[in-house]
Amino acid sequence: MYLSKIVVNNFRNLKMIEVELSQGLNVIVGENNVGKTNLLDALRAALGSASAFVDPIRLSKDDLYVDQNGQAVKEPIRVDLNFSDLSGDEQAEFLEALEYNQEHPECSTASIHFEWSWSEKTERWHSRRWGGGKSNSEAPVPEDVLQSVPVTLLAALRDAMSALVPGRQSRLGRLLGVSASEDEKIKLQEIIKKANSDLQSNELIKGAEEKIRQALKGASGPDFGQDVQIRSSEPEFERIVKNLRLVLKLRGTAAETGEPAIQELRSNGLGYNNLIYIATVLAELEASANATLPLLLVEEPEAHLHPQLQILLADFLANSKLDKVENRKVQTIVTTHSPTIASRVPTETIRVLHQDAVSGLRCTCLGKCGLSAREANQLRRMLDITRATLLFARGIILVEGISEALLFPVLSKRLSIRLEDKGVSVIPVCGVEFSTISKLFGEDKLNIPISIVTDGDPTIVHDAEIKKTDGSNDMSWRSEIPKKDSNIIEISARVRKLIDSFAQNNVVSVSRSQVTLEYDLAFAGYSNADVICEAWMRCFDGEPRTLNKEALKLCGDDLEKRALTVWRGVCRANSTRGKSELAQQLAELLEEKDETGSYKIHLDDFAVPIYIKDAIDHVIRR
Amino acid sequence: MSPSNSDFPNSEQKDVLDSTARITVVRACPGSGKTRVFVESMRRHLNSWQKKGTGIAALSFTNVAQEQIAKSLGNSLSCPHFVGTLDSFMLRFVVRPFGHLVGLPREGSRLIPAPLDAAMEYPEVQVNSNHQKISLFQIRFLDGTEDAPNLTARDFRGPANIEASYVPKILASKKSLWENRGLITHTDSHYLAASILRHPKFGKAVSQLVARRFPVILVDELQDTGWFLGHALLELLRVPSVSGLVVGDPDQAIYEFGGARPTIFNDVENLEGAVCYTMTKTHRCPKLIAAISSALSDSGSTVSSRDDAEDGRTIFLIHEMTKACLDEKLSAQIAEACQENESLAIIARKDATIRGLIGESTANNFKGVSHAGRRLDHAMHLFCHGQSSIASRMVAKELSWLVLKNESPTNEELRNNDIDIREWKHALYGILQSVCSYYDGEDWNDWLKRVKKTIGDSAVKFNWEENRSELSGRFRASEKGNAKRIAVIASNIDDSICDKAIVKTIHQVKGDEFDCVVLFVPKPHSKNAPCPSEEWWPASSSEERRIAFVAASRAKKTLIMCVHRNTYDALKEKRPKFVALFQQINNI
Repeated sequence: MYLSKIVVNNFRNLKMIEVELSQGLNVIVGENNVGKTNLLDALRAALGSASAFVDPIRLSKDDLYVDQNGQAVKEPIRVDLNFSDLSGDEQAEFLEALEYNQEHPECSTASIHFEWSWSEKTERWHSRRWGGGKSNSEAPVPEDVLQSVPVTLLAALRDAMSALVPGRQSRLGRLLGVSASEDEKIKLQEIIKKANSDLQSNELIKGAEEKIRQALKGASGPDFGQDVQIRSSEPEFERIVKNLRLVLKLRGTAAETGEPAIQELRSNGLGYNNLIYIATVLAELEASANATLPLLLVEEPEAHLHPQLQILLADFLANSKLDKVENRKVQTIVTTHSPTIASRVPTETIRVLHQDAVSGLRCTCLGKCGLSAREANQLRRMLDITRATLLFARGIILVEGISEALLFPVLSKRLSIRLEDKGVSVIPVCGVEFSTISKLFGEDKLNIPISIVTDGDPTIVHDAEIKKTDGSNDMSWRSEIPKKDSNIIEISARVRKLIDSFAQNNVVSVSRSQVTLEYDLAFAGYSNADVICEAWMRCFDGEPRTLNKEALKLCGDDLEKRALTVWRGVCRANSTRGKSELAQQLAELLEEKDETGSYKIHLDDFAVPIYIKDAIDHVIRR
Repeated sequence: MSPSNSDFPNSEQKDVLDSTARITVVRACPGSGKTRVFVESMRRHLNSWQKKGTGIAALSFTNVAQEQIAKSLGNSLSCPHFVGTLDSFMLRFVVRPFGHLVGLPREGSRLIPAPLDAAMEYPEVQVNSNHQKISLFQIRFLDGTEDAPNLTARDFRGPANIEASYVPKILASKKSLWENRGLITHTDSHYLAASILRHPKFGKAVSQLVARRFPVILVDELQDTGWFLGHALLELLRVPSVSGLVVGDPDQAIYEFGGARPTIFNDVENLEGAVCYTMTKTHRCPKLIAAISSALSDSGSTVSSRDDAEDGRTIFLIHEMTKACLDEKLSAQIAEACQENESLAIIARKDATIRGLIGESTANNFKGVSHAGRRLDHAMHLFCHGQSSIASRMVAKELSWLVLKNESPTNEELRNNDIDIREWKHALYGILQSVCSYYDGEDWNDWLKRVKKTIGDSAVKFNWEENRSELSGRFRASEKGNAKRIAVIASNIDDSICDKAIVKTIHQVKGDEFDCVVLFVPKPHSKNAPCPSEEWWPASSSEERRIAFVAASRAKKTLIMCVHRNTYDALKEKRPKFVALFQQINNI
């Protein structure tokens, strides 16, 4: 059994959101303030105090969704929880929350529903909780059922230390408690009993006790006097385990005793203690016999961890050494902004909480976007090298390579658009494999505007009019030319297919150059080619033969010829420098400013190609 | 109740406790310690209980029995175990989760608890060719099959005759009421439970699921389990993985009018793996009282007292009252027979007799034609007898009809109509107060007028668009209503005995025991109070005989049979052997 769906209405910033979850690990990613914590709180509220391990959540009228006019909604807060994959025993246990499937009894699900309303008139709240969709039956979900789904929250500002040191909240105590058999409990008690009796006969202890007694007697007189003793702990299991502590075992040995050296946890860093804490809790929950479905909610597991440790933690959560995922009892919900964690866990565990362009907040499960296993792996690698930025962005521009990635921010700045401010990420796919990533996007998937920017990649032929000096046809790069059909450059079949496949998609927009970035940059304005030429020359110590001012001059006023010259020189000729160096230099050149703060290359002197403008416009349209 | 602890368990009880049968059926005579055995069996199960998420269902017929069990077992009874009535068990684990399979709304149903169901007068349905109509909520499922049930009906006017040919239509109306409004009564719930668990398609799967949640089912007072409830229970017991203990006494079946049949014992005994045991030794009744009980046993079985039991005291007390009344003379006689420190119960067959004994006005003495008036008068009686929550729900019906045009709104609906629940409760209490107060010289029409005003005023507070004619229709004065409304409190009741004694109906003391029991039988009347000399030795239906058996077997030391002279004369003539079982014959 696992929690398969949460639907939240009117809770804090969550007007209406539906989140599908799967067994084992679920990683909810999203930018700050998008509502990740609220989602966890809604889940905790829905299960109530009966299922809360420590502090249950208490709702107030401030938890009601507030609309754009600052008005709290009249409708109640409502949270619906669906549970799937119930075994026969679990169906029986959850009878009161069961949604029986008459045709396929084994597919029956269970549900728990929670509603909280506030009356302005009486200034009172009212809440109710019902099971199995039976909203009218006035029969609450029994607390016993709720206790079968205990929720443990490791909050963002968790105090790992205090949960690990001895005391009432000791997690170590809980772990020992759920793991111990009756015999083992008795054995432990015997140890402490013996320790206590040893202490009792110890001269130092006896002396100290006597001193305290005398002092007490003096202070409170014989009638009020209390007697005291010094003991390690009461020989009662619960108390013993709550008083035990975790210590760090060091590599060396203590000089005096020869025992392994140990160190108190507080000397440990926050990061490591967090790891110990999470591991302890997970082990404890897996061992608890009392719970049917322990839910572990971890906010920002990355807190205090450097990236390498984050990777280890992500691996641990995704692939716990404790057991195989399918045998795992604990269902974990993690919220994170860590690209490291997001890029490390299996992509199907990732849920992206994001602002939909139209309907507000929504949650998309990457596992439900129709990726094949091969594509999922591809995506994971993609997320890895791009630091998963696409999962945290408000708009995405997918480009082919590093040249575009370098130039897009610069070009958009020249259009007075700062991509960072708009939350737009420019991601190079290092090739033309756009289909995997773009499968994630759509009105019913990740509804984040995305532009795919690709090259027209026309077939390249030789211009028969260009002759060598000997009059024969020049078959070198100098005569190369994109193939045309009735004077229009013919784009490749690949690009045609790409455009067609997203023709109906409002979320994904495909923009393409006529030939390549360099050609189209040069073609966008008359002086563009000069600027590119300038940047190209900066790449070399001497004057390159591939592209120089002289070559441009030969083109006269013909814009197309100038573009072809740039393209041939940068893209077609065999040169010691490449397109990426050009992009670097061009970016720098285009960013250079004089003392007055205006661009050295005037805005008019370098026009931005329309297809790039379109791509940017699409992702910032919100 | 618990017999002396010294020799528990005796050999009969031990056999039951050691039984390894899948279903252990126990026919136990009164006082044989069946509840003790029941509790002990449960305790043994609890001690070895391991399986998480499943529990023991300890089911009994009455809330009294349930309280006894809960008391004896203490705290270990929380979830996942269930201790309660069979009725609430079926509602919670069968009807609520699965009701939508047999026509209840998916969103669930609401139970109209008794006696609130009696106040639900609409919708009505025609039940016979005399054009008699009766509220669907007053029609009960007696017995028969799910497809062709036998129905009974009774409302404030009395019983209604349901003709068989009208049953399909009535059933269809019930079903549409369930489907459209999701309102069910207890009897509906029993019928629905049987319909679900016995359904040809999914009955078996659901039974198995419920049985998985409760692999051990213990049932007390089997004889009083109604027809459909009993059939639902049989389906659960039939699941092979279930084991259970079923105890009861067919001689004590006193709910035949509710569809209970002693023959359910045969059905349970016929289940695969069922073994029957008997417990015939009473720890409660002394020899003479055991003999009287045996003489009243319907099945002809003998109630045998323990060898070391006392003789006990049996007294015939002959009264000449035309109306039952616990006056000084009767009280004196009872006081003489009952020691100071002994527990005493004065019991009677009918509610009206009990009211007479303690000098209370009878229920339903409203004079007039207004249904609302009659219902509110009834609410007052409930309120005076501690059933304040039901009483206020009845009052709420009247108020919400005006305010919301809906007689049974949920709290949700009230809230949705922007009604402050606290103010609502204050208003209900105000109306109840008005309903309950007496004024000198007031007649029923005056009372009606006063109550109408209170309700109207309250409704206005909840934004009722005042329309007094709407009210007048419901609170119509009438010729009859000119009768004076008097608080009928008899003056000649002896308080001292009332304070000491439990004064209840036989049905209410079922399962209980007292040192001294006074069975008060009023003057026989040819129409509605037949003479025990006939009733207790009937030709056909033996329900009354079993009721007398229950009454007699409550006594631990002294049994006083207080009958009218006419009854005594008739008994002496027709049942001399029975009369001879009594040691003393006293006249009041």
